[in-house]
Amino acid sequence: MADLSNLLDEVDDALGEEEDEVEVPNTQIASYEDNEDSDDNDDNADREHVELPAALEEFEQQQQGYGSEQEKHDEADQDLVELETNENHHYYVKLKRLWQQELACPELLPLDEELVEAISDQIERQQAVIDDMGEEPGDIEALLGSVLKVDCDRAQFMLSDLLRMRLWKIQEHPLHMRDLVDRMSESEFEFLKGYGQLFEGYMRRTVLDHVAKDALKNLDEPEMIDKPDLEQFVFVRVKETSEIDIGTEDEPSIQQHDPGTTLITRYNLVRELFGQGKVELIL
Amino acid sequence: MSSRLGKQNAIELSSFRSAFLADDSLVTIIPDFDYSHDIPLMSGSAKVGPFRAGIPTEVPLWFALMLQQRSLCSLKVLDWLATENLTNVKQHETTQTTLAPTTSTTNTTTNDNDGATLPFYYAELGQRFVSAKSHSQAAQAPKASRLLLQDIAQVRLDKLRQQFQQLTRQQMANPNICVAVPGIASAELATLKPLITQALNDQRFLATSAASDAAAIKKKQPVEDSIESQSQEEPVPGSNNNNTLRSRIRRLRR
Repeated sequence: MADLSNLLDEVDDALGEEEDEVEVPNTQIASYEDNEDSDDNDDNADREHVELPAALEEFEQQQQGYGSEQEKHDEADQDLVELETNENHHYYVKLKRLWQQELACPELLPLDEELVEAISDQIERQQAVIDDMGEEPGDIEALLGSVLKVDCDRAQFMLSDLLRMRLWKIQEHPLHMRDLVDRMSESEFEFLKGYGQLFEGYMRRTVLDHVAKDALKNLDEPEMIDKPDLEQFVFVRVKETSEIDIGTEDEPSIQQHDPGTTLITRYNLVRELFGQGKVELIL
Repeated sequence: MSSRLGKQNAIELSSFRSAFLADDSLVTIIPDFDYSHDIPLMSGSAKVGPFRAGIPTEVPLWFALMLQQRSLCSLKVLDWLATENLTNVKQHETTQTTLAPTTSTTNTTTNDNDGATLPFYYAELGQRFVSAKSHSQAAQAPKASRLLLQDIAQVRLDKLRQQFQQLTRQQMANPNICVAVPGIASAELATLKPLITQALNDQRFLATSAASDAAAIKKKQPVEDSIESQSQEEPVPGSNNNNTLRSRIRRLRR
């Protein structure tokens, strides 16, 4: 209780910074804070140097024509932009894949923290570039600004939808998730701890404290822990030729499927293949 | 998720997501402006630009639509949206029992399969193109295409619904089913998936609980073995087995 006012202050801070994203997990709130702090930092300035001049120089060139020195500088810029774009795109594609798989999968998948970090980093930097652009009204600048904004929003949507889905999964089965801590990020783990405490406290107050027998008082009876339903039906697309055993334990009967086929099947039957990357879940 | 959000909501959400994904596919535009730099984007393609007025270039669909709203480019209609191709596809859909195959690329050109193929995101892309307001008439998909698209979507959905009825029947026989659905497209998945998976899951739940109940009863009353084995297939009203089944259904509906 003593810390309540501190906690409230923290919440207020977080809310003040990002009103729309009240429910975003800690990673995001933290990263927004970083963003505020590091706006003036050097590595951000570097990035601006890469992207902004492209737009501004264009503007200047239109009025003044090309200078030879200008062109040299331009080429170097171009290379940098290209390098960075490829990397950006690479992350985006990966995030898209991760997002689709997480949404379609009944269980919690391991989180690629490096990817999440890289993407949120990029979003921040792009946001900073856009913010700077707003001060220079002009046809091309305005267009470029809004294009980058949409681009940024798309990545951000996927990221928050991914994290939201993960938190939902954790909330659904808090007790079961205790065994899957290695699949979570640090802040998801913190979330689970907090949620688990609330859950346990609630259970104790409402039911467990009023049970007479001590043996019935613990929450970790394996049979009582709710788990995600791995027998669920899912849609999968086969990426490499794979064999699926649809028989019973006594009499296996193996089906073979070629790449590109879409299947409806139970998640458990393809779980192994999914782990090997031979099939992918579809949304 | 469907249990919490409600089925309608789940469908709307997944439709939104499939449209979102479709917007990343590449289309060809003819820009009306010059811009000599690449634009570093995260999404769609690795890079877009440089732009030269009159020279076709490839950009993600969402970008193309933004430019078009500002009348800065004209959108080239995708090849497969041509009336002839769609007539072909419709022909296939109405005469064959299978769905026209889908491909993952946006711009399908005709291949061996009597020309009738559709992109995976055909419904979403088609929607975007027929509703896109273009400042040059030539760039808009013809009205006939819109009608054909609607027909195709309708026929395909009907066919899939029938397939899924068979599917649930098959599941009764073998719970470990693994059935191929060739040619299903993104929009159809978005509408049908929540429904189908829910139906199959519920059916599995009822089947397993009926079986386990029957087994439990069998253990209790070995004498009435013959009667119980009958009720396993069709529960006699008012019997113990039926009651537990009902309570399970009630639990399921919550």
